[in-house]
Amino acid sequence: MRARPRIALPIERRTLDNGLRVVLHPDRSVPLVAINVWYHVGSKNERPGRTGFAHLFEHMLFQGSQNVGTNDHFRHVQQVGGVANGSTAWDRTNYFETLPSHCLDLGLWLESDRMGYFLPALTSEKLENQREVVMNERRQRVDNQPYGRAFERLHELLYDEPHPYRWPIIGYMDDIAAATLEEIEAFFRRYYVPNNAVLTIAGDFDIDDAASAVERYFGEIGRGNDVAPVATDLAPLPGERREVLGDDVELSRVYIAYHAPPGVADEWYAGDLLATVLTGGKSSPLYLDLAHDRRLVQDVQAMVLSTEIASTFLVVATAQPGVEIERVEAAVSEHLAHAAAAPLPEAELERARNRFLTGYLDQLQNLEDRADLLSRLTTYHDDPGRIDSELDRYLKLGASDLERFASEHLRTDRRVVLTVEPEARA
Amino acid sequence: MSPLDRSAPPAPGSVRPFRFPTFERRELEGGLTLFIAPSSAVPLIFFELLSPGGAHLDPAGRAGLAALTGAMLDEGTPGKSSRQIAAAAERVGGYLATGTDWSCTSVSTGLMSAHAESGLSLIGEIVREPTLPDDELERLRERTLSEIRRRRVVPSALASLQFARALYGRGVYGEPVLGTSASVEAITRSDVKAFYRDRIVAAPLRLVVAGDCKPQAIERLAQSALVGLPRRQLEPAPSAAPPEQASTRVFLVDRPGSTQTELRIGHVGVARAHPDFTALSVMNSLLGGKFTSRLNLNLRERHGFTYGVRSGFSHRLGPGPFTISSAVATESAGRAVAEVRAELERLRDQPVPAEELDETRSYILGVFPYTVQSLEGVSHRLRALALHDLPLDYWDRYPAEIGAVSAGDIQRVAQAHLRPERLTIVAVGPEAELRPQLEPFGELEICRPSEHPELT
Repeated sequence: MRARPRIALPIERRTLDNGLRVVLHPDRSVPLVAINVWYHVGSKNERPGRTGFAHLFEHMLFQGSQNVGTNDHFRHVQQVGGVANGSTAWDRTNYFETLPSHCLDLGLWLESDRMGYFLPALTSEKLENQREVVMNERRQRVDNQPYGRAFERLHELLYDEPHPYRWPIIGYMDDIAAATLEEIEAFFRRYYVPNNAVLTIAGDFDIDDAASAVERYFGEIGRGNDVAPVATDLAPLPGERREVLGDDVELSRVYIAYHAPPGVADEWYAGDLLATVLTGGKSSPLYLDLAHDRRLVQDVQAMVLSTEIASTFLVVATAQPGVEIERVEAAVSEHLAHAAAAPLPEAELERARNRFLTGYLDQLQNLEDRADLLSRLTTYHDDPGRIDSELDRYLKLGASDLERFASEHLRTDRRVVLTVEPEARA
Repeated sequence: MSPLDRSAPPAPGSVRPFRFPTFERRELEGGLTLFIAPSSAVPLIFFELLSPGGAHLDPAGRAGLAALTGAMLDEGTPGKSSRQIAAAAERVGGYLATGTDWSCTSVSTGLMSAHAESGLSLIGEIVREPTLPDDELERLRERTLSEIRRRRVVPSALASLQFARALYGRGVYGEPVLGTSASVEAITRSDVKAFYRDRIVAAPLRLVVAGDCKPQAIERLAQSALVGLPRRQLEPAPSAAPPEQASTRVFLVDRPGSTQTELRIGHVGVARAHPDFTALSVMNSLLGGKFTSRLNLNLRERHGFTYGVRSGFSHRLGPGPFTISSAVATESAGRAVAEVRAELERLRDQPVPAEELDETRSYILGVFPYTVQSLEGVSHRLRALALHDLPLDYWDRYPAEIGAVSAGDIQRVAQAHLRPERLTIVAVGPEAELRPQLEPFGELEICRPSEHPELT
């Protein structure tokens, strides 16, 4: 394997008695501290009829807790010059803030108050307000966006009931409307327990001071019941599934998608590197052929989602006006078949490895991203030290690994082809 | 140990000092200025060459010329084809990008610092001797026209286009940076060549560098890569002279199937160089710049009308727009507009409470180090110095300048620069539901994109 820069970050990890896993990464170069909490719960823990619940819940966790007023979470953070946010995905929900380092305790107070003392501040007014906000978020991101429904429909076609990747993270409108206060409470008790969370602190702090502050703020929160893992059964697609969706769009688009190994599996990395080989940059083969030389597409992008119990490999391509979408599909399929039939040239792999390495170093410049990655690696692998060895998982891959991935997973007889076509406007 | 008292937020510790990273400014002959911020934190380096040839210089009827010319720069040189140029940067894991906005056209690259020399010489090569080939021009024209078509059905894009057109007409800032279908069709190869010759390589050029490097070495590289371009003095830009507006106007862009309404509310603002800019930026943060702003707390947290609302002044050489943007539930559009107007009036008519001003200033100051953690963040701040000719100690003095903005300053600039009686309101959504809600605000004009293709 090639020489490469080492990501030599000081990392200390410990586990509190209540099961909270804590990762401390001191870096005193800038007077900032990033606090990041991952709860191992996402939309895959929901049930049909209550989709979107984990995300709606995330909104509720910004509405204050026993000692934090309704709009005061952001206020406390912003008035000292911090930034805060949260996000919900299929498998996890994260909450994070970056603060001036002399305000570390403020962040720990805020995060521990909502981990331990959220329920006393829960009211139906807050739920009704955030329900409206989330409905508007869904309209803005999905219903009122060209191609907005496509990603949702793609997952419905890829994952049969009862697989939990079938429904969208933001949820269906009727389900958002149906969520009750009692359910919010039960969800909190079940999933928002210290033994289902990882807390990472990265930045300008003394490790002993931070460790004792963490103990002080989080140690008194009671451990909850263990959270059972979600079943991972997934039958292979029985054949090729095709669907055409009409939408208010100008340009046709095709989504070609496959089941792929879980994002936590070693095999997954070959898929990620393959996606970079295929469409990463203007000198990638799909861009050069489809966008530059044959002028079939406006854009083309391959990616593999890094979800926990299964993943999706997909290629999305938007046709130029006047180009039949079938030609675009055929051209993409040709490249995928080629990747499965013979090893890709070493120069293509080298470009992709270099792109990954540069991107990784770039991303790690920000404390916030570093903290989030440490939480991820601890949640899924119980090993924050992988922040260094992750690189090798990419750099060691050879042409035969990518070929094997393509031939095993990118099969035309087990895929979904979803096309979005312009529909005459009402 | 006694139980923890959680009732009040913990007191802050002692503040650790922060200074904006050191950088150097070096003047080279022929109107090339370097801004170099060396840092050995990561083995990466970023270059951005800024040319004054921005979209504000598009000739009448040729909107999109600057953007198209900028995009043509990396499409061929005597020694390299389009694909060889892309491959040169990407082979080693870097990127090469061109971009055009209302102030400049830029060429940028980011890569491992071991490849700094090849990165900068690539920028030099494409800026010095682009061949601007015909076949690539036709390809990029086609891509641009497709992008214009794509935007036609994106409600947020449609709202922004209509808002710019309503404020500036067909003058500077009124046309999209990418151009319209008609203007992009009209651009000829000789337009592109002339824009390259007269605008892109016109002095002054600025090069912003951040990363693992030695300034002396960068100067030497820049000398060979960029000095000696056949440089013209830039002719003055046409100025943005928007028509005066006597009262509030409403533009309703009918989009019958919309499940939500995109709103743009505002008016012409001020140039970046305006002396009130700093006070206005504090005022804006408080009004709609941060999550806990008045507008967001009102429209989102109090009323649930929207997922979010923001306001902002645009940093341009001339007076860019002051814009409040949101996507709101259609049935609440009228109430949302009324709340926005009321917040503007309140800000203009009532002094800002001391506590709220303190919180806002301390947010802006506290968040500053966060925004310059990365090399891109530092580059972004140096770019502002370079483009707007700000003093070299601008970022060092910035905390004091923000800290000095008083409640009186806020009220003075609010009175001078906010015009709640003469707003331009653009709403993209279903006419039938919106018309009765928006008619009370002012003279209402209906726009139907299908009948007015000239909009895009």
